[in-house]
Amino acid sequence: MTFDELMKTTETLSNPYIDEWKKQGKKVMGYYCTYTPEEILLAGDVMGYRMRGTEAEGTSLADTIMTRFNCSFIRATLDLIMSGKYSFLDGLVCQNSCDHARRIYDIFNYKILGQMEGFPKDYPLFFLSIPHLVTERGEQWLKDEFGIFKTNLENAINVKISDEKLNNSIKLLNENRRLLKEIHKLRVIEKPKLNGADMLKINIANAAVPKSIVNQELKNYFDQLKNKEGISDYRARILLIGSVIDDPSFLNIIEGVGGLVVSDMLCYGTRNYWDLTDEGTSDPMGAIAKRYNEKISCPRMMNRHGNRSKFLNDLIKEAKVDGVIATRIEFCDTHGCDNMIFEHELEEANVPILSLDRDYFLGDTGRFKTRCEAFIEQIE
Amino acid sequence: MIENKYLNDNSKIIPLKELMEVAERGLTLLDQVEGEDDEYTILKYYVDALAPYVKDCVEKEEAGWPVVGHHFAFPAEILYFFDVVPVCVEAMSYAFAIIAQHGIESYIDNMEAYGSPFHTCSAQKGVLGMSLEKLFKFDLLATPSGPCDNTIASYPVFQYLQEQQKVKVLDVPYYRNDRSLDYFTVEITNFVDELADFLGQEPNEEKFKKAIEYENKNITLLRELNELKKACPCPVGSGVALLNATMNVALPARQERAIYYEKLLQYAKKYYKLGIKPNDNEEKIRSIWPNMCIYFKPKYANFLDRRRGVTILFDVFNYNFHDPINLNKDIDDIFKQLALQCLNYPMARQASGYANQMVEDTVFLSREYKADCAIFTNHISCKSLQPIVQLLREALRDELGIPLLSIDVDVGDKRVNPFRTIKKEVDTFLKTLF
Repeated sequence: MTFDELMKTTETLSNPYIDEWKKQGKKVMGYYCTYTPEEILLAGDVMGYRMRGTEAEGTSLADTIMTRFNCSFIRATLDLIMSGKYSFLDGLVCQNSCDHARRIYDIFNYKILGQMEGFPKDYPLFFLSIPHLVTERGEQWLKDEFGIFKTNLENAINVKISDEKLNNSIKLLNENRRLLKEIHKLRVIEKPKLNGADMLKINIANAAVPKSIVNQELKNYFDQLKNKEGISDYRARILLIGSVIDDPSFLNIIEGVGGLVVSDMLCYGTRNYWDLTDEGTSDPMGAIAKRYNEKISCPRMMNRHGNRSKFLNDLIKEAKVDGVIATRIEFCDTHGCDNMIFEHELEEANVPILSLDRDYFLGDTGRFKTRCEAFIEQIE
Repeated sequence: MIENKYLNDNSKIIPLKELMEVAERGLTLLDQVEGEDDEYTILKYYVDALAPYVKDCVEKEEAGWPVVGHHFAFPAEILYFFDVVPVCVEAMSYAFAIIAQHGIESYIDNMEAYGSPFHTCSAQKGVLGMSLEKLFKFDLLATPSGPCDNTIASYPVFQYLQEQQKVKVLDVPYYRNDRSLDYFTVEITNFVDELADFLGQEPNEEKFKKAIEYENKNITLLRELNELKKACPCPVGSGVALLNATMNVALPARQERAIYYEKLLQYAKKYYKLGIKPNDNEEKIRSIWPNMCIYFKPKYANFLDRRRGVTILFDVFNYNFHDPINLNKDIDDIFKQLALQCLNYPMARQASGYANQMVEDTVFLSREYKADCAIFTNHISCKSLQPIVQLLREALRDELGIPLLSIDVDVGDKRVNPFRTIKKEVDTFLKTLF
């Protein structure tokens, strides 16, 4: 596999690595949210695949069930499911990530399982209840919840997941996260070795290819990157925060007008790989629960805005950012209010911030371009 | 906007002071209304119950009691362990939408100018806007972590707006099973200890149990009233659904609500015996509103009764699926029963967890109460209920053969979908039924 081949996997939903994985008799299961314990999937030899809206051309099928006030990203993925584009998945893990995402589980039960081709009644469909507070009790709940998930997964795929397998998958995922973090460090320097669009592509590909393969590629890429000439022809250093972005063309808009996205606080970004799981413990399930409980959160965690704020400020300092762009997909209430608070906090701290609301399908790129250009002119 | 005379007032609950004046003026006016127009009779019962609650809040706040803003799905009973002034945030937003001439739109505008997205819930945004102007200055806000993203998103904003407005959260699990119940029971038990520490007060078990007694009575009276509604025609007017909804969320665990229900029950029994609808209105269509009534246009419910012959049997806040608490148990068991009750509070029950709860509850009510149709107010911020509408439509069609109309609206903000449009949509729908 070459790095270019890895990057090509971002252009389509499925890819040859998934085909190869499945040819070996292994499973691929979709998940929506970074609170999915990938370690458990991997320990069952299941490749976790982060759901995307790539290849979606509209939401006409999804709109027969969901409404125009529901997240266009979720609707895009549902549309792809209903049109058969996700037929390569062998199962799906849903969660109470947000009001929009959690209804995918219900829609599957009411309208898809046993009613659409490729989705029999006994299709492995899982739901995880993640607490909305980061507390000790919540961590215990999470451990129990992950335990139930593990058992259900074992039954669904007829595999036993041992502590040894869990510890091995923890190691593999930690290695993956470390590599991504090392590459991140090459973004935040004065002459970044890669731009934001490429970093996003790496994160997208990372969630669509088996980890054992992608880790090797990341290592090779990192080695090349270290020696690469850095980028110096940019006008402003930008940090990007907000809700899910799985489309590099959005970053191309920012970077096309002179902004360089040198850092981020995104779920297809630092929020996914920043935190590691304790390795080699006698209680790997406890270690996994701890990691997911304490990791950099998204606004679904009600008592962690302070932590996110601190993390954001650390990222701003680390990357010597000129300005922050806070983006969200329209109708996202949680990011909407969280971004609002960040806006006020950063204004008080004299950090320029631009808020951009968008539909998943980037129809109004002209407007974004104008606003980004104006912002960059202001801060360069 | 709230009158200028309050703006230099140091009260932490200025909107309640205005509400108190509005209620007193309202009662004076209602006393002068002659004849037995039932709409005014019910309104008088409503204001008669609301006024003493508001007066009690104002007096206690003036005496220095801490003000605790709570979510409608928060078990307000536990606040009665302590000497606090309990104010339901969502009830206040919609009380102003219903009663105050100025509505809550200006406060919504303030919050949106501050940065709050237009599609966040007016139920919190109204009071957030008041909090932004320091009309409310809560000492504490208490909320569960559900039933929706708007709760999760909005409550932390209170603390950002005024630093002393601490927010404490009860984590609500997604499932409705024994494991969830055990988890949530401990959440509630621990919360009482946290409140005690925060307030610097010792919990008073006697006052807590008294609050539960009041709420038990409320539940029993409401059940009795709801039984009478099975009669055709319904012996209560549609306006009752709207008033009951706000009463239920505004006055949890309060004696004033029981007094309101007792009067309402007598009134309903009168018409039940007569076998007619109040004001001798015709009942052509019986409707269930699985979500909320339209709070910014309270008279619409009466209009539907008088001019269209449509009865609103229930909205989501009018039917309790939870049981009274058995106080002849030890305190741990009482907490467990309270936890179970809280998981089944109106709207929390239907919106917090899986979609099937909303579907099953609506089908149940439609069947039991012989509904002819369902009208779903697709409140712009109810993102978790919106994907359920189609599932609900199909369930009602397949199981009962009744249709569902979904109207896009913000139940507290008249500008999102103009009332004229809503009226037209409903009328067009009703024509298919007549």
